Amino acid sequence: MREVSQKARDVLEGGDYRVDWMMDLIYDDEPRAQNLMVLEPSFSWDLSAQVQGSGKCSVLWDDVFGQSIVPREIGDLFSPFGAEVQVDVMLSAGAFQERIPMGRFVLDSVPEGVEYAIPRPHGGLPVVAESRVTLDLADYFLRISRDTFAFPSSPKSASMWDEAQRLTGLPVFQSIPDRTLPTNITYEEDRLDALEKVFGPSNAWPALTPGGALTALPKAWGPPVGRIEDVISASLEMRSENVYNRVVVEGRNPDPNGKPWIAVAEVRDGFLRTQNADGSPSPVRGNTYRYSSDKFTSLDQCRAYADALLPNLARLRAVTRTVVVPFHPLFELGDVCVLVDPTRMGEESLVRVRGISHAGGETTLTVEVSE
Amino acid sequence: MIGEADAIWEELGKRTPVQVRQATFAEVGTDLTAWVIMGDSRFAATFTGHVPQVGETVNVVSIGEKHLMLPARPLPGTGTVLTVSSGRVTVQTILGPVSMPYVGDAPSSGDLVGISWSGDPYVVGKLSVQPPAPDPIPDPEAGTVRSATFMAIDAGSANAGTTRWWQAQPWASDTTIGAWFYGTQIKDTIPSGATLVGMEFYAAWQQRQGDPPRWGLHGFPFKGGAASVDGNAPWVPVEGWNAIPWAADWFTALKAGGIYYGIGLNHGGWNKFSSLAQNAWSGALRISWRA
Repeated sequence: MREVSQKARDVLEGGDYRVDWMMDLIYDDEPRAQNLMVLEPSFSWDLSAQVQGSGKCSVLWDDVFGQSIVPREIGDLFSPFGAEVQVDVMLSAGAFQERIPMGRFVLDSVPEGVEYAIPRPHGGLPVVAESRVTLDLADYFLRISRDTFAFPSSPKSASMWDEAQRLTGLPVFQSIPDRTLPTNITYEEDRLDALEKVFGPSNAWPALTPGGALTALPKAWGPPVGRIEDVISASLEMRSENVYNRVVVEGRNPDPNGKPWIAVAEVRDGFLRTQNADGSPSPVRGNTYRYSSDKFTSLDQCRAYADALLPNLARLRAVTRTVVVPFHPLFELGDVCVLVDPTRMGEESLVRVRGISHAGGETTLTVEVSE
Repeated sequence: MIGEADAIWEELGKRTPVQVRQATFAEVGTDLTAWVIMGDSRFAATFTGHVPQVGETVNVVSIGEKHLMLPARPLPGTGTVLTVSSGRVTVQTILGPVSMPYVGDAPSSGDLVGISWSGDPYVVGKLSVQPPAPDPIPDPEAGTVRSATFMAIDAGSANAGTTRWWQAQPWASDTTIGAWFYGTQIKDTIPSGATLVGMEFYAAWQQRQGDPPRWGLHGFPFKGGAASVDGNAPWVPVEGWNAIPWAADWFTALKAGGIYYGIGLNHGGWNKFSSLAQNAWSGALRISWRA
């Protein structure tokens, strides 16, 4: 859940408040236009995507100087080269007002820019009475994934967090303890892949805070941080893809004379078993998930990672629910929540948020159901 | 025809999967096949010149259906003799000391010798001269400048010594202490060995009146605790980014964390700065450092 004051929580609970989407346009750490009103905001976050956050919205502009914000050249106010926007939700109730940061985005494209000009009473160039741009936004990981390494590169630091900072250039919130990384490895071209693998041995995904800082999201479920109530609909979905019952983890042994580092973990009982007790094939057979990384520092670490990965993959994304609630700004990816099921007499169950989308007055959550 | 064309396009679009994995060399099979063991599987690979010893760890490069066996370790062509005893020499190589037989006369300790590695390694003989040591090559990536912009995550004012942050704007007045909070991000981001390049503060004014505000550091990552600020240096920043006059001191204190986590106003005049609801950039810090 996003960090807000207790008062903001009370206001959201009370249900009598006003919500405005606002935006700051930033270029080179300099706010170029602040507190712009955002029209038709539609923002979503998806935990299974590499670039997790994306959004679409429009901005309307009219000023006394008759300026237009429609970008025509690289370097114009809303031109999608280096421009960033900080999108916030302004929560107000009476005199109370609080800014809830939603996310830092980069401008990916401006698919639609429209100007409305009127003639001057005494001739000359027409005056722009109003201009409007539609913006396609993606979170900061887009910029990081486009900024590929020009040459093969190796880690410069043995500290996981220091290396993650170096790869992204972002401020960091250390949400999990630091870890020692081997430095005698070479990254692939993609900076984001490298970042994922830096966090991989700690069983965490890279994530961004609403203010645009880098943090890590543990793959393991934490204690519940909130409740999903007032549910409008909560349909259930079950699928077999992306469910694995065998995990092979490969590391690289730095000792050239040592044994190869390969760890295998299998489900041996229950419905997802790879084989029956007598060795004959089981009804579901096997489905192998492969993970190889040079970032392990021992064979035990490979084994531990395989053992940790298996229970996640043997049910991950098997059962998901699409939950629709009235607009609620506080949900974040990875939140473990108590779902109050409206169609089963308010039965409570534990879920984890894997996808969020805000559009109109509704928030749609894709949640993973616990065992 | 269209179906065939589709099939051809699909094949052209496919990338041949390439994998490099480690395996254990088992034996030489008929038709000069190299048998290797990986996990619980024993399969045939192709020799690429080097013949490993049985039980040696090798790299298997899988390109589509072809599996090439390559050495998993460097095979240095030279080494320095450490000891000689009963027909074997121990040679110091970049792999560490390796024991092997030799050809011809026994080399003596300290000799630079040539080594042949295919199959069982052996010393070929003593080299005529010692090659000169090359000059070291500098690391092109050493000492790059990094920077990050830290947005305040909270801000506000409380009466000096109290815990109630009743005002969302940071105020420097006779009774109030103002503060910007950053969580733990500055300490988390900047390594302890970093040296300062530049540090700037974003000032967003609401009111200027009386004496200049007095600045210092406070010890709270988040709102909490009795409001207090250490230090009271007068400073009037301009609207927007300002280079901090005491950047070196603040940088040292904030990157260490533990005692100080943020910037505060220790009375002075009747000066007010924007709350985060008014201006999200209020109190932002831009720091660049060399690590």
